[in-house]
Amino acid sequence: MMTTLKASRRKGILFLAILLAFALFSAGCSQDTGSDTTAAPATTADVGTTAAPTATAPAPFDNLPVKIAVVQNSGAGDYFQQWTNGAKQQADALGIEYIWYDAQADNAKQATDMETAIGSGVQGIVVDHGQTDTMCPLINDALDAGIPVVIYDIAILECAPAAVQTQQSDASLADLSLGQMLEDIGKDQPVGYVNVLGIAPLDRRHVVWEEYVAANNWTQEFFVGEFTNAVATDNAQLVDAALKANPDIRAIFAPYDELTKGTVSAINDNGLADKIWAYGIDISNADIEVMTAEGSPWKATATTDPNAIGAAVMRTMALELAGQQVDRSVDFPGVLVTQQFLLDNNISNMVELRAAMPELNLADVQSADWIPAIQF
Amino acid sequence: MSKTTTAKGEPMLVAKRSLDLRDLVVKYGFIAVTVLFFVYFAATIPAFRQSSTMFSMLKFTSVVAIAGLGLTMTMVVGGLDLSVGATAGMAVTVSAMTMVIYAQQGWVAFLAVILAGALIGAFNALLIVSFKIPDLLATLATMFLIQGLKLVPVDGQSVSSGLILRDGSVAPGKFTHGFLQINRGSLGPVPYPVVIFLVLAVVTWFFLSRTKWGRVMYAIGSNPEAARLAGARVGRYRAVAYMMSGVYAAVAGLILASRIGQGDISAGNSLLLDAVAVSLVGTSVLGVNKPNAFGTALGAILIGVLLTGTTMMNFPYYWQDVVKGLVLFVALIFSFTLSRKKQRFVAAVPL
Amino acid sequence: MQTAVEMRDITMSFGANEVLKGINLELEPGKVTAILGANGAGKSTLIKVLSGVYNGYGGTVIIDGAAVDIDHPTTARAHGIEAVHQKIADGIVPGLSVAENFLFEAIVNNEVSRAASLRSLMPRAREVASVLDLDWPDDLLRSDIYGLPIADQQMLLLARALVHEPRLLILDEPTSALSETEAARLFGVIRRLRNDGVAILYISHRLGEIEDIADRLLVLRDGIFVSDQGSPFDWAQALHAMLGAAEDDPHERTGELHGTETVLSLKGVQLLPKSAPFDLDFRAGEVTGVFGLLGSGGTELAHGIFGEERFRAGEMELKGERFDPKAPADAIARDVYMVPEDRVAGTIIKDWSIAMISTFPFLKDVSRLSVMNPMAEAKVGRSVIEEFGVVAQGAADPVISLSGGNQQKVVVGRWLRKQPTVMVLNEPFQGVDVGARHDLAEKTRDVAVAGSTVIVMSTDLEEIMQVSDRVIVLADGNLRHDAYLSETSREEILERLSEVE
Repeated sequence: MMTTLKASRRKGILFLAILLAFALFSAGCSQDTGSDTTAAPATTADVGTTAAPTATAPAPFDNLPVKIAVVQNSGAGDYFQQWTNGAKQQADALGIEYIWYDAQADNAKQATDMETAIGSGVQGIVVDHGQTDTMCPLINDALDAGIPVVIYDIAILECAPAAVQTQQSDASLADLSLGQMLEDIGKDQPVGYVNVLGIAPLDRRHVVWEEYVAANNWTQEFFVGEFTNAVATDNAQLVDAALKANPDIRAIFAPYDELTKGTVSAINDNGLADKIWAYGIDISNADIEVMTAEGSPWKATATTDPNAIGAAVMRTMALELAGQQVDRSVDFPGVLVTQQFLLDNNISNMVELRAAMPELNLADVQSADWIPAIQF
Repeated sequence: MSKTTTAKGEPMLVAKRSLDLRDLVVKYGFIAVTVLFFVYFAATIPAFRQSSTMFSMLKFTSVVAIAGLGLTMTMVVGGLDLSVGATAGMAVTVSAMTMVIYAQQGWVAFLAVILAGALIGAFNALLIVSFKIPDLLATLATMFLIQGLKLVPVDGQSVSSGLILRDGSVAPGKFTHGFLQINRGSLGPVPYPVVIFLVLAVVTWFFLSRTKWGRVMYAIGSNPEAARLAGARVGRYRAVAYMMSGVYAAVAGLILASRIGQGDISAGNSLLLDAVAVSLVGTSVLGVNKPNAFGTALGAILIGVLLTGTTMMNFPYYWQDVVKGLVLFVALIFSFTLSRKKQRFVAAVPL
Repeated sequence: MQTAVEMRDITMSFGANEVLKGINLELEPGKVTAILGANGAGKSTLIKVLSGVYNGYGGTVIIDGAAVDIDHPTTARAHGIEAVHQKIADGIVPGLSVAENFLFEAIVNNEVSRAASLRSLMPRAREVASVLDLDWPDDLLRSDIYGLPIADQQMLLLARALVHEPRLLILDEPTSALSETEAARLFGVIRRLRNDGVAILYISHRLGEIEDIADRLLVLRDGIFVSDQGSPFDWAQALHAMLGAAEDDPHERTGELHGTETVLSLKGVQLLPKSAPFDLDFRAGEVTGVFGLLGSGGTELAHGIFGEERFRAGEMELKGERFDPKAPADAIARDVYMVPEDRVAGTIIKDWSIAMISTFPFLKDVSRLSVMNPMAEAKVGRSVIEEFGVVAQGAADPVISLSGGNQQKVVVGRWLRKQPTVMVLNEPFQGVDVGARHDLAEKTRDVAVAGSTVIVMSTDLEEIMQVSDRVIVLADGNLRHDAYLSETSREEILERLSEVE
């Protein structure tokens, strides 16, 4: 008995070690979703066309390569993959060399990434998402060290006014999507809400949501949501539970496409697709597939093209480095995409969507005659 | 060792002090690998050579290393504390609550966090020592429990300044300047987190290797029955190990909280596996094949060097996990395949 | 009468160690043959040879007049030899149902699919159970084996063995886990099998059981049979044979010590579930030997004194004060020490040096403000090596590099050097060579001369006679005898031991 016990203990730790090794290894494999330009699968990596510049580049772009760091909170998910793709292609076109930090949604890691980036002697830093409280002091450190910083989607105007803050116009995106929702379901309806507060763009969308709920006498039956490294899956579980308790709502607003996907799958799992509709923000190839699936409850989304945004942010960095960026805040406008529009135009991916909606392309936004702007 | 024969014809064991490649590999292989990578990165990446890069690398490593040091102590007594990540995460929420919601000073948050860490350790000890639940299972349950419990008072939200409280009022406090200095401050060029890490590494090493308490703890991990029959109060030592593990995890959490500057509810989530990894890697450093503080610290630094280097070479982020996995494989090969010593801590982990 | 199995001149060696030195035995059908023997006499080796666990034995096994080579358990089974081993846990398969355990051999041999439904297994399981008339309900057959009482698990293993209708059934300590009524049930089965003409080889330490059930008693000692008698048995003769003849001069003693001061008093102490409580005093300045067969309560006595396990009933006084240790640490705090019977499991820590093992119980002596002093530690290690004549190159040698005898010197020495108030040595001479045994006995007596109360537990009468002044005889947890060696004799001790209740 003793010997078998000991043997099983030994097996236990061996098992644990193997499990751990396997977990680490497979985590590496399973997250191989291709945010790297060269390795990215064709379905998500859209290759843009480059317009030839018509003027010579100012300093420091007369002395290539220009070195920058990109400090990203999370590169996972369709949106960020496309954003990254656009930014990298624009950087390559500009002759920018980059060190790309991805904190995998770990805020503490993003902070140390930022410190490393500051210390590594780059000429500029792009910060993509992150917590205001965490990143603001570090952004100021970078500015103090003479490194220009361009931020995408973090509220830092107040605490780091010298940095350039860029964002898609969240108020307009939320307004577009909620406007469609109001048109579809009308006033005085029971509704559900999936969001995570404390993240700047989602907070901005939240403000619009509250306005809509109050103005239209909607009853918010539930409010769930969490931000993890597997947002869609984890939130599907939360929404599923909320739906079990509140099957009589008319619509759910989930103002971030990973949240919307989780919401849609929860609705489908509960067989409520014909009764409850979902409204989101952002779009990607995978999102289009979900929206146009037969009987999909996802009726509308408001979006920008993440590829175009990524590229525009990178152009903003270039302008800032060249000393040509005046405004400290840049908004990228959005467009409304309805399920009906996608079906009517037989759109199945971003390329077709872009063709059908030229306003998605931001090639003229944040550009200059010396910049080889990427066009998707 | 090789067999020779004396004049009388009796076989005699002679220690062969000259080069035995396998022994050398087992003993210094790991350190050599670390140095090799370090030199390689320094030679190929100019940014890697900056002293600021070194310090931010050590700073980044310090959280995992400190949690790993606590975990090492539970491994020494033959257990494993799976709640270290959750404890660190809880420390972040407790810091934020104390300062942001209750508007207390930084030192109050500091004390509250350390106390909470000790309490979690005591709770683990109660489950393991008094209720006789196997370590892995008890601490796994604790992990889930505190991961969930920490969210109850904050309604599942990250606590940052300006948070709207349940009664509609705005949270009155914010992270104090002093508290933020835990992460941002430095002693000369050495950031405080690195100072804390190095001090705790030395203290832990001294405690485990040079004091009678450490001696007893290793005995318990190796043969608890023999330790008990020699008069060791096995239960008390194991309880102390878990309480120290809780406190160390809380210290790691303090640094995290100070780094993030808000009560990020997802903080610490990735800490457990990393801490287990560095502790396991640590067992193979110097070929001692037992959990030890020096090894854990060095294992953490090695992984830190590799992660920083590969990131600067623009390996995509997912290669970081591959790197950790490979380091662990190499360490396990040193421990299990190459070493002639039997794994000591292995048999002592109750399952 | 024809023999069921005959063994001729069976020998078995492990390296240079000859464990069986020529066994001749004819086992007759319808008879229960019991084997009695001390630890290491060769009983389990004999069983393993017969049941095919060991091959490579010398000599011949004859069945039905023909020599057969039993080289594998399946060969033994094919020749009608079945063994039920001592550890029930080794036979049953946890996680399976009772029915699947009944059919385990069939499952292993792929006669029955493991994937087959439990329902389809039931008829065959009931078939096996019926061998012993085990009329268990379907619910029970379906339930997990762990829910089954230990005695029923034993019955299950027996049924599994009997389904092959063996000519020879070997039972190794079959009652060690059973209660008295459960044992009585087993005996009923054994009697029935005997009447059916099965030859039964019965191994036990329990004299009462052998008296009850056996037709013939063999005593095994050092690999050969030294006594062979039919029922009724002469127990004193059997025990003599088992424990060996008296040596002329068991120890060159300077003289028998008679202590005067009572240090440790046991009051109303009960050792085993059904044993009678007794009072017992241990005195300083003498060595008290506690003698009994395996399972007679000596270990329980040692554990109780050292606080490792509570007595079933009763209390203790140490130097006139209440003594109630709840853990070994409590006993050690009162200078009551023990060397456990299992050296490896109870004292050895792998990788540790002689010095580390030597100082472990008293780290305070070699540390200052809790910081270890390696010099002081090495000094203690060296002093244990010198005082006890440990054969080693130095105090830094790993303790596992030492021979058994030298290891034992270290683990005894680390306590004796502290001049204990009470020193309990549980089987201190097991796995110890003659030379080391002599040295240890001498040191043990020295510490008694110096005023310690020394208690030695052993199942070996020779050892007891060698080291003790006073002897206590335990049988089934009962106190049978208490006398100075000069006032008693081997014969009397064995007689007291052999009084079968």
